[in-house]
Amino acid sequence: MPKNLKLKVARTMKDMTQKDLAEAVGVSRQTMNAIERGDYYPSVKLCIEICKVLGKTLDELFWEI
Amino acid sequence: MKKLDELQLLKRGNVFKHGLFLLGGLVLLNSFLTNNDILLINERWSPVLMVLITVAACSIELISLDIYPLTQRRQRLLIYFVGLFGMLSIAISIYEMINSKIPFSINKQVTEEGLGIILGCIFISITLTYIIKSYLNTKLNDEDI
Repeated sequence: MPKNLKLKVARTMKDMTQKDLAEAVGVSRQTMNAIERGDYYPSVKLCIEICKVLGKTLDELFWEI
Repeated sequence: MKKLDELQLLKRGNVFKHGLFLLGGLVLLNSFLTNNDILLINERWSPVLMVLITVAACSIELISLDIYPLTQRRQRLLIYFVGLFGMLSIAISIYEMINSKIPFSINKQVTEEGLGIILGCIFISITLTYIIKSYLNTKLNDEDI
């Protein structure tokens, strides 16, 4: 699975660590790490939570072309 | 109880599945050995050992995946107690072996003192996994960017 660099960029733009983002959306740091590394595709519910925290749309963070 | 997220729940399910397969494998192995008159451990203790091996394997996997069901503080106390119990078990077994001159095994069958050492090692492995994992987690949290 490809790495989700868009998520990593959006997170760093917000000056958040993986732990900060994980706490904000209510998951563990390991889960957030797995999502960024592309090892795990999160549920739509979790994707929406992440988008809300980072102020991005689903397309901007999770759509692959 | 620790609240788990969706990936952790998935992983926990896999751990229980591995535990079930391991227990099944151990039961089959035990039946095979018993049918062939190979008794590595006293028949009274082999079911206990099978269950303990499975519990230890599942605990180690749960700890290494950070999904152990207890909260941090409780987890630490329980796991250190398990380690202490393991060390005591080994110490008492070695003391008995030296004092009563009982070997680790007689006629290819592990004695009760030998079993005490095996059980101690199983318990200590859980504590060691927790200590190593805690160290790695601290290191990872420091490196988190």
